[in-house]
Amino acid sequence: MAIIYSAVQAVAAHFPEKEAVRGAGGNALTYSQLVDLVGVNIRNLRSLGVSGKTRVAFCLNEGVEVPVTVLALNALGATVIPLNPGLQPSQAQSFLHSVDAEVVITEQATEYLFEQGSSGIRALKLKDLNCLGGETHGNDEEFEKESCLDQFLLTLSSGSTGSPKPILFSEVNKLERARQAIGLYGITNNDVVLCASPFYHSLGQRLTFVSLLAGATLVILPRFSTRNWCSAVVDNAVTFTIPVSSHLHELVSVLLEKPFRFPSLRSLVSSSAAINDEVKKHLFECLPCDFYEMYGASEVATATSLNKRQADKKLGSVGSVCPGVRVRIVNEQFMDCRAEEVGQIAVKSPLASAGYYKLPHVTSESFVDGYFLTGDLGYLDHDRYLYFVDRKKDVVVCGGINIYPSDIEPVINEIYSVKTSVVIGLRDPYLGEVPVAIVVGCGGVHEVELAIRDHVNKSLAAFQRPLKYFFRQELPLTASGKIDKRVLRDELNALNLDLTSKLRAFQNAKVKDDCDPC
Amino acid sequence: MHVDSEIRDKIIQLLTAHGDRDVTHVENVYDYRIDSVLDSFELLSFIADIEGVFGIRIDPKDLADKKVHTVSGFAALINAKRSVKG
Repeated sequence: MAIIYSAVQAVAAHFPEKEAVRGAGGNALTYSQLVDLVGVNIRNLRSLGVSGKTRVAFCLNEGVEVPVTVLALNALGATVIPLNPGLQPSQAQSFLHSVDAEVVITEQATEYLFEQGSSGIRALKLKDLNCLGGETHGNDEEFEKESCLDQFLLTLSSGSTGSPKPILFSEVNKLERARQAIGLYGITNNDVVLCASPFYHSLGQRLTFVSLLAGATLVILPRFSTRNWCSAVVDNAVTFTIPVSSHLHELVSVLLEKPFRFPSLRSLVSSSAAINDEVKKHLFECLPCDFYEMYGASEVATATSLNKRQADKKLGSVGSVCPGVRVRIVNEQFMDCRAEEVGQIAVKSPLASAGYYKLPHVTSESFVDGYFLTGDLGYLDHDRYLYFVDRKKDVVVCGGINIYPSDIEPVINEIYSVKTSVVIGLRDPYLGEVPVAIVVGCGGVHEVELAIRDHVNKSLAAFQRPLKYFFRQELPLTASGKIDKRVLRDELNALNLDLTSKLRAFQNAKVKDDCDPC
Repeated sequence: MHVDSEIRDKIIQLLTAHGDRDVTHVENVYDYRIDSVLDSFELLSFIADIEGVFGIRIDPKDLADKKVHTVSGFAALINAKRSVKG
């Protein structure tokens, strides 16, 4: 059985007329309409040759079409592979091949990504699946459901050209993760869940499944802005949502200035946000709704949670360990650290993914004795509350998105006048971290920078493009001869560059106009 | 203030490159709001590119006025910056 789709069908049987999903422009479906539409999609997909075990990527902008497509693919027993529409064509093609995709579903806005074709991968157009039109009667009982969905969903953990790491989830993974969130935050069929994260992001998947499996109403916000978020919460009487860190940073001033502006809001969860303790304290104290901070990773789901009651004494922590989850702090030899001793955070969870698709070595390096090595440094206090300290892995977390320097550096190094380059993350008050590049080049700095920018714009997604280029004669090395990124990071962080100040100025000007209608 | 059409065309070219959407033939493109085409990440790299391409430095306070948020407004800002520099 396709258990996720079956669970949604069960909800539909109980609440046929309840609104299941609302998208932009007034698009909305009741649970009954959702199931009918999924049935239409199943028939169309089948007639187009998609069946159980087919690996189907889709590259769609956020809307009601996304959950419909996901559920139809699930019902057929296909593997669901959501793609970021913001990728460059070469990146999208690289991803498709890394996950052995056989079919890709596109819409008008994303067709160009696959115009040049991709050997062995068939492109289907969303309109041909009859997503929002045509016959919607009948049911899908006539369709056979596959029994084994160990490969239900592949999420690409990095938006990369170089080494994508597709995380493999079974249906049970996603179902149990949704149940974990439903239990942690007390979500019921009375809730209205706002999803402002795309489905290719694990947070978007979590909010989608949580809402549909709880029988709640899912409100999809295709494009985040403070105004859109405020309007969506007020207009839809949203009760629950999880903003990513960049969204939360934008929302903090609105939330703290007028905390009673959103009377419907029952719970707000901070996910992967590097918010400072002072802001966190204000949020816990001022918000009239429940506020939670959580720590986790796509590979293991939520590992710890901090609620209002705990925050009184453990504000600096990311919470206590969730039921069923084990957290260890380990040293280089994988031995346990003492309480309050900093080491790598390792998480063992019944909700852990099956690992990285077709990357057994990466999987075995990342999962040791069932513990996922997060690459984060932290410590547990004597009461076993977890404190996040820093990151160990070479990754820049920008607005909740993982950016891997190893994906960016080779692209910069392709420029003839670049001898070598490194990409590091600099602290940022708004996005947590932002990527910058340090380049050793030959020739005029201005010309080299323009050449890099032009090449990077064509080769990398927007979130991967360094915000600033620094030019050096040479790069600092460690004793073992590797480039010492820590030295560069310390040196450049000391400059307090605030590379997102222009973005904030841009957005603040807009918010001034936007806020009153909220 | 005279705004060089070359600047506006370059802005539109960069908007298209960063937003992955061709806005070249959009009606009244000069009145187009830059943030209607670009998300946060795209806007950040767009501004960085503008500074690099035109050899200017844009201050956050320059962006506090919503008039500069259109293609024409942004072009006027660039033109003013270049005049001061030049």
